Amino acid sequence: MPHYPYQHILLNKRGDTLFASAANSVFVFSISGTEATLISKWTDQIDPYYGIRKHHKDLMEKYEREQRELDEAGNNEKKQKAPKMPIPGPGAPPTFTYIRGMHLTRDDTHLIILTDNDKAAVVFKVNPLETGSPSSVLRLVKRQPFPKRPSAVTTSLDDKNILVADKFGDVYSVGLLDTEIQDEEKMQPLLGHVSMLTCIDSSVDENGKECVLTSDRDEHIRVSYYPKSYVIKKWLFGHKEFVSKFVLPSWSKGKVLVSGGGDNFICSWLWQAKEGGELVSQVSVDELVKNYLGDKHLVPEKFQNENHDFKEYCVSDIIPVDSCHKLAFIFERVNALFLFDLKDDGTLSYDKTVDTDADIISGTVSGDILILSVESEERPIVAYKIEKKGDTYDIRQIAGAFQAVSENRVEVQSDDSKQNVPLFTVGGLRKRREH
Amino acid sequence: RAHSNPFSDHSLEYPMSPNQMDWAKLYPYYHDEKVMAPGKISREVQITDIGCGFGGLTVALAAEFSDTLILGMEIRVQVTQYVEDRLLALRENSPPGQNVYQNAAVIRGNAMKFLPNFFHKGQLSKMFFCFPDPHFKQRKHKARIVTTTLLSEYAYVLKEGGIIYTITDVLDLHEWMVHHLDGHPLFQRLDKQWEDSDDCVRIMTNATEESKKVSRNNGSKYIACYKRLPDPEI
Repeated sequence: MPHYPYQHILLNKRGDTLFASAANSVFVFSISGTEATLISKWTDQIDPYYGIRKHHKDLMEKYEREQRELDEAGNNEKKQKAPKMPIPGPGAPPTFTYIRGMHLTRDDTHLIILTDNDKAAVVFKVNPLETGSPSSVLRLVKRQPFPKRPSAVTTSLDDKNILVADKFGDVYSVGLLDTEIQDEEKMQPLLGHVSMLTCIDSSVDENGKECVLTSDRDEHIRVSYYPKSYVIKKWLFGHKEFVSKFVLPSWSKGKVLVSGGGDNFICSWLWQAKEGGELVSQVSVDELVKNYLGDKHLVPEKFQNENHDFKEYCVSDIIPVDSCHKLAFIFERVNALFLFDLKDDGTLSYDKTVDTDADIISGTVSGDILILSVESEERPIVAYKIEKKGDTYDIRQIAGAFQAVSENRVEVQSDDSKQNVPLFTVGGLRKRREH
Repeated sequence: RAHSNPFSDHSLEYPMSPNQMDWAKLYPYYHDEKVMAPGKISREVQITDIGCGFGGLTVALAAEFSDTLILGMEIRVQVTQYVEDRLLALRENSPPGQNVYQNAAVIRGNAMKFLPNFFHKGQLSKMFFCFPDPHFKQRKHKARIVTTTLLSEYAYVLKEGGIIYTITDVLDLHEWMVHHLDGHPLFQRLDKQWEDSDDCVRIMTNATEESKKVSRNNGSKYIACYKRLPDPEI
C-alpha cells in the first residue's frame, strides 16, 4: 500500500524534536545527530462526518421545534418529513479529517494543530519523553472550534494567547492554557479583513509596541496593534497577487519582513519605516523558477493563452535559516529549494538553488539541519547539513538520515482517498477575475 | 441588479497604494501638468460616498462643499457608468467661468476590500453610508458594509473628529450598524441635537434617489452619525 506524504514538518528550536503530520496523524520523533526515533503518535479520532452531523443536528432541532409549535397550535395538517442525514453514498469519495497546519509556541512548549473537519485549533503540551510514557509526549490541552475554517495560527509574543486566522478573513484570540472551550458562535474577532487570511505573526514596532501582522488573498499585508487591534498601524503595499507567506527572521531582530505569494517576485521590507517607504527589495524569481515548471503549472484551459503554454507558480513557504542568515523559498510543485541572502538592512539577494528529487511539500530548519518533506513514496524525507566553508555556506545532503521518519507513515486506505489530502493548495488562491 | 457580491473576484481597478493613484484622471481640473507629476492633483479627496448608487448624494455634496473633493464609490459597473456620465454632463453644462462639479468624481470599487489602497491614514473627514444593502440573511451578515472589524479600516482612513454618516430605511440594519459602531472604541455617536443642526444629515435625508423613494413610499429613515475618536494609548 502507498503512504501519505508528510504535509507539514516542524523542528523545535533546539533541534531535538521533529513533528510531522500526514493525513490526520501527528508523529513525534526525537532527533539525535542524523538519527530519528519515533516517540509518540497522535491520530485525530474525530468523526469524518462531523460537519454533516452537526448541520443535520441543527436541522433536526429546527424541525422538532416547528413540529412542537404545530402541535401546540392544534394544527393537524400533514407534517413535513424529518430532514435526512445526508451521508454520502458508496460511490462518493471517502471523507476524513486532515491536519491543515502545525505550529509551535515561541517557547516550544506547546504544539498547535489546525484541523479541517471541525474547524478547530488543537493545543498540546509537549512533554519530554523522559518524564513519562510515549503516550504522554503530546498531552491534549484543549480542542477549540472556530466559526470558520482556520487557515493560519500564531501566538502573542508572551505565548499567552493563540491567534487564529481564518478563511473568512477574521482573527480570533483565545488563551493558550485556558481549558474552558468558548462557544464558537459567540466569539468576537480581534480583527478582520474582507479576504481570506494566509499568514499571521507578531512582532514589536519601532516604539516597542506589540503588533500583529496578517496577510491576505488581496495582496495586503496589514499591521495592527495588539491587543488593541482595532487600531491599524499600516499596510505594506507592493504585492500584485495574493500573499501566501511572510516571515520575520530572528537575525534582523524583527525589523525585516520577507514575503512571497502569487507574484513573480519576492519582497523584503523594513516594515517599521515611515508609511510608503517600507519596501527594500523586490527580487524577480522568474528566471530561477521557470526552468522547473512543467505541465502541472499550466493554467486552466479557460484562462490559457493562444499557444496553450501559459504557466503559473507561487511561493508556498519561506523558511528562515538562522545559522547563515538565509531564507529558503519553496515554490509549489517545484523540485528545488531557492536560497536567498538577507542582510540586516533588509537587502535580499539570490544565493543558490538546491535541486531535489521530488516536489517539495514542506520544510523546516533548526541549527545546521534542514529537513524537507517531498512528494515521494520511496524517500519522503530529505535532510541537509548547512556547513560553513570560509566565507560561504555549503548545503550538503545527508544520505540515509532520519530513516525512522520514512518508515513510520500512514498507509493510504484506498486508491481514491489520496485525492482527499490536498498537498498543493496555495496556487488555488489566485484570483480569476471575470467581470 | 440591485446588489453585488462584495466577496467575489471582480476585475476591479485599484491602485497598488495611495501614492500610485491616478487622481488627475478623476479630477482633471485640479491637475496642473506644468507643476505636478502625472496623476497628482492640488488637493486630496476628503469626502467619500460609499455605495453612491445613482449619485444623488455625491452631486448634492459637491454643490454644498464646492472646495472639497468628493468621491463616490460604487461596485456595480453600469451604475458607476451612469454616475460618471451624469457628473461629466454636469461639468460640461457648468456656466462659463464657474467650473462647478469639478470636485466630484466616481469610481467602481470595492470599499470593503480596497479602501486603504486609495486613501492615506487620516485622510478623510466624512464618510457616507446611505441606504446600504441590508443583506437580510444571517449568514450574509459579514457582507454588510458596517461591521466591527471593517470599522477599524474606516477609522484608519478617517481623521480624528471625522464623521461616519449612516442612514437606512431598514430598522434591523440600522440597529445592526448602531450596535457595531457603539461597540467600536474609536467611534462615538453624535446626538439628535447635532443631527438636527448638521447640513449633511439634511442632505442625505433628502438628496439621494433611495431617500426620495423611501419618502414616496412613506418609509422610515433611520439615521446614526459617529465621530472618530483619537487613538487610545497603545
